[in-house]
Amino acid sequence: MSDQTGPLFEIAPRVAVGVPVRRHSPTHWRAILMLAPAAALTLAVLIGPLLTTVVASFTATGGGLRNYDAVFADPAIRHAIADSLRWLVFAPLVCLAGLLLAWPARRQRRPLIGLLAAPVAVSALVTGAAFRLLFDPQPGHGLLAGLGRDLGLHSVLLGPGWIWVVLALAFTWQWLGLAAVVFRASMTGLPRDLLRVARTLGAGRLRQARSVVLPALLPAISLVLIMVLVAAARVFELVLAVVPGSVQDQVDVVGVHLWRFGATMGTGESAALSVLLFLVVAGVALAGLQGLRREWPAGRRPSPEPVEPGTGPGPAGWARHGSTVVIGAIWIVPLAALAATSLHTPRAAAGGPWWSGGWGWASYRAAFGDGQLLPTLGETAVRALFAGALLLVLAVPAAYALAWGDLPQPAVRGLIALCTVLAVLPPQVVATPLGYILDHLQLLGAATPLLLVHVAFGVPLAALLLRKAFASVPREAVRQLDPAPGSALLAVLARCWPALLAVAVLEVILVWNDLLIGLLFGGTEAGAATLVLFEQTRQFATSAGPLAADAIVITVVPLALVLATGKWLVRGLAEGVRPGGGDARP
Amino acid sequence: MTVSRRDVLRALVVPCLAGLGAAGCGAGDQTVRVAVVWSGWELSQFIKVMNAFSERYGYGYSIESMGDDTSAFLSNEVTADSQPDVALVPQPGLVRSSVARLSPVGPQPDAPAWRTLLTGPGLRQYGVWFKAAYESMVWHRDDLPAPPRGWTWDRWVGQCRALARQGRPPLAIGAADGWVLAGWFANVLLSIDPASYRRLAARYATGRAAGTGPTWDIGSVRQALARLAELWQIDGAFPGGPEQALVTQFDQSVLDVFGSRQAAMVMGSDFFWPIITQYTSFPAGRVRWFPFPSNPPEKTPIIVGGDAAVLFSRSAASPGSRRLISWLATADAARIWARAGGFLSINAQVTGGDYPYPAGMRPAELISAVRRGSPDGRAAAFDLADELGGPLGGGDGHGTWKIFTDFFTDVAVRRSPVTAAIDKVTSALDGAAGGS
Repeated sequence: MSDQTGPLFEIAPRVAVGVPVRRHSPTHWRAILMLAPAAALTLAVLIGPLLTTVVASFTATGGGLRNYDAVFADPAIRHAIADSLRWLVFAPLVCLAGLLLAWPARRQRRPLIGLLAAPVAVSALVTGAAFRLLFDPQPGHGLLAGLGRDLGLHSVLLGPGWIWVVLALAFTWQWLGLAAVVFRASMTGLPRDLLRVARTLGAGRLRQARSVVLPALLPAISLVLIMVLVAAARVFELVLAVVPGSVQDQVDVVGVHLWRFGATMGTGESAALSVLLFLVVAGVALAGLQGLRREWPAGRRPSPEPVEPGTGPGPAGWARHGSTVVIGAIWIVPLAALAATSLHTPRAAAGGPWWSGGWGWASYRAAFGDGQLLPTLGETAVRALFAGALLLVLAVPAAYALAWGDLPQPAVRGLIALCTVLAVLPPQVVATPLGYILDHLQLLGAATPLLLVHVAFGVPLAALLLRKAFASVPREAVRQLDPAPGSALLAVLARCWPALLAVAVLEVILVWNDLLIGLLFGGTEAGAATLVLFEQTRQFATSAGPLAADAIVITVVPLALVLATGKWLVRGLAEGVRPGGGDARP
Repeated sequence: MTVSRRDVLRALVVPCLAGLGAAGCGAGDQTVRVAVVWSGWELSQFIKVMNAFSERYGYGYSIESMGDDTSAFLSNEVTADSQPDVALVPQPGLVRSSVARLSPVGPQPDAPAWRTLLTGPGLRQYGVWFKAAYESMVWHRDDLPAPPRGWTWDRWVGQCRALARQGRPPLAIGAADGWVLAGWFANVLLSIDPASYRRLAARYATGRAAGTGPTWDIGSVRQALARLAELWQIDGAFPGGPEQALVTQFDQSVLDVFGSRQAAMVMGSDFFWPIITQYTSFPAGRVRWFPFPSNPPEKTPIIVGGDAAVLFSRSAASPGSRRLISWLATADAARIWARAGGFLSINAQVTGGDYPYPAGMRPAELISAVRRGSPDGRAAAFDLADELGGPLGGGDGHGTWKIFTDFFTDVAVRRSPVTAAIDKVTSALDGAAGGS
């Protein structure tokens, strides 16, 4: 820590060291064995069905390229593709906004922006419901629509055209905070010495940003970009919940289109559209991977004193605090509106605004009253916990093999690229063949296949994040213990527990909040809490109270989890992003 | 040290496998999986019905709501385990186009006209009616004078114009729900030309033109659309304007009349009743309605809808599912929901006393209108959009729902010329049915 020699001088030797490959075949076998369970599951659930879809797109129905011609000939599908691309253009803008938000907060000791990341724990379905209620055009109903009317904006925001604004706001609400928090975490790790050198050499602010700050943040930018782009490419629940039926066709995205019309499109055509969706998402992810690979070689943990003079309660500091407080207050609105609505009786929630009278617990009684919610909450919790545990069991050895398994570099690179592509795979793409496989395996009833599918979709990203974390453990710590095979893994695990926690918590939240996978593969018996909420989103006036109560109940669990583990989550994620110190693996 | 790693792994794996077993053994063959379109209050009523079933016959059940995406839901053949055993489908067109995946069920004794709607190949019935609806009602409060004898469409339009001029929006409309607009069209077309209505419903039952018969570009279809445009284009017809109407759902439109009283009338169905009594404080005794008006000598239209219970062939051998299908057709099952309102049964044993409507509501008339095929001086037919399947079938952003939503947007929101808007509808209907 005290060693502050410029990292500039450390780059060359570290790169030259490379990976000394020892004991060729036995080590390979161990690595392959460690990869095997995760590989088997991804092969069965993701890769096999994906290849089947690709083959079907060229052979089924018309054959050849005819399915692709048919896809592009359909104006509705072209519209859906254009809408999906719009989301992909919008995602980087959210990341940029996160960057701008993180910059002023980078020196605050207790940044409020941590709270802004909380919406990540909120499911897209709940987010959609909250924004639908906020923008309800009924006079005295939606808060924001009312504000718009006061400002002389007479357009109905949920209507054609403006609906994009509502969708964009909902998406921003959900992802901006995460981007800001991860950026801030990696900004505290900026190479101070390089900045000093740059200043000494007379580089201007712009130059500093371009040649020092930006390259240093590149891994973080890539990671955030991938996460947000994946969310943008997978937009599904948000459209179903926010958009009134009459406007649905105007914001149709490929994911929704496939779900809604896949069956009427014919096997070949829907396979072709699936492949197109996959190609776009995979292309985006691989482009992001290029950035992830370029790790900043600053080999020391960031100095623990990021607070510098000038951030005290001076006017500038207060202004900064003030702006974060304002943003924080705005950020609370959607959940506060949901909570207030849920605390009204169903009749009051249907008839009047959520800031008026008619308070009571009746909506919660109605939400639990029909006996559907409680058991599904239990089933969802059990599934989420098991998914988190099973994911670690599979992904930890695989990630360890990728980080320290002494596999040949090209193989590791190839596997990382494969993981990246699979991490962003939209479930609709593999739905049809995967359903066929699950049907013919007849595994232990409905709940088990659903659990396995969840874990399989989680394995690639988990392996990527864990590999990053494992690779950042100092080489000496691993190599010293290497002769005793198990101890090295344990040593790595002991050092990387924030990353393990982050991966497990993320999986628990993903499974808990999932609607799409449950909708496609689960069905009634599997019992997913979000499905109960989804049932309520058919009517937003008379269902407002119970719907909000459902949403709050469903949100409390992941939100509490994220708030309780937030510090470790950021560390776990950021450790995969920023160099953790010592002799990190390339 | 090797041992401890193994211990760690074992500690992680064992509870997982135990969990797999436990999670997988949750539900056995005794559970019937039911998919329905209802949500909210209606869903809670159906759950009451299912609880009674469960109590009486000892089968467990699980319910999943399909929302308005019925066809997406039913055609989503992703896994067998995600498929229900029994589904309650509001679109007989969808039932007939899915017979390949359904199992025939025992014939329902009442109302032969209703049976035909669910009849597939080999004259076998592929579903039983559980719930029926009467969809030709115009609801209003008692502060609006009751329509005099000889009430006609033209006089109704005059009344709406007069109210709009006074700054009182005459109509609430849930234009965000495609089926609401499709219901308007069905009512108007049925009063103008019942014969063409039936021929269109028969010819386009699969969503594609079959045999010879009328296309959608015929005089009475154009006339019906023009009639709708006449009403929808009235300045100030809808509270908050047509833009707001476009994102208003049907339940909100009922609240607009009986809750906030922003509008005078709402066209709709008997299932608006529980919305009024459950979600507004408007006294039930002061709720009024009149039948959807037509211009004599046209007949008064009676559009009916309903939800049929179908059995998937995969579950044909499941005794619980079969038992449920036959039970849903009984008067016992019907009465549970009928008592709460918003539910009509075609079962003749369910009588006026089983419904909660006050005397003025004439429940007997509602029900007989629903049960009978073609009663005195009136034209009855099943909801057109629900009868059509395939590319014309309804669903958010789909088929007839989308086409009529576009028509509403054109004439009410954009104020496009009516003839051009009508051309767009007929060519869209013919285009979809042409299978291009």
